[in-house]
Amino acid sequence: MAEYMDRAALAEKIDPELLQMLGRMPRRQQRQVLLLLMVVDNLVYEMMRERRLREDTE
Amino acid sequence: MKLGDKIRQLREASKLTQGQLANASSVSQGYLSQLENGEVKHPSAAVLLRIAQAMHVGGDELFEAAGYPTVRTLREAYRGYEATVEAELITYLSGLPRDKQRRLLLVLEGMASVLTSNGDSRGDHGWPRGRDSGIPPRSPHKSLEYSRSRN
Repeated sequence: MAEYMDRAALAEKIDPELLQMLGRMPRRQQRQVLLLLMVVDNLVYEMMRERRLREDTE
Repeated sequence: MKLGDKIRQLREASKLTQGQLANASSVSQGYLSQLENGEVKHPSAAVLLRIAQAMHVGGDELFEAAGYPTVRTLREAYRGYEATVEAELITYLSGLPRDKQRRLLLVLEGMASVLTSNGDSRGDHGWPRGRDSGIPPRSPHKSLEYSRSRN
């Protein structure tokens, strides 16, 4: 129950329209959105790291 | 329970007459009578709050009966979404600032709009429609069809 309440509290931090849009998606697509976000997150992290390395060597 | 019935019930529980409650909440007795009889379509939140305060009850009870969103009803709506959206996705998104969440919403809607343009009329692609249902159906695309058939 406590875990459920915690997740409900997290949901309250999310923009209601975004939550509404995601709520209409099937679970499989929601997982794909999460995967997409994580991939982009990782890509941005790699790009930033590479840029910092390049700046350090110059 | 309807708003009028709710006001009457609370007023009687507070042992107030219509005249006393009308006086204490700065509305006319006629208007209060109309409210109790369900003859007012959209009473203002300010009036409801004054009536609630005059009866020493929280405004939410009357707001909810009148159809206004309250913290409790919004929280319930959020709990509903919590049950329908992946827990990991909720955890991820809750860590993003609101402005980034808004931008993500625009990106997702933009992607859906791009991927569903030049569409056919099948409408069975499963991608949720936009907020105003303005997203047309997506045309068949080989790679997407392939990824879909694998799942």
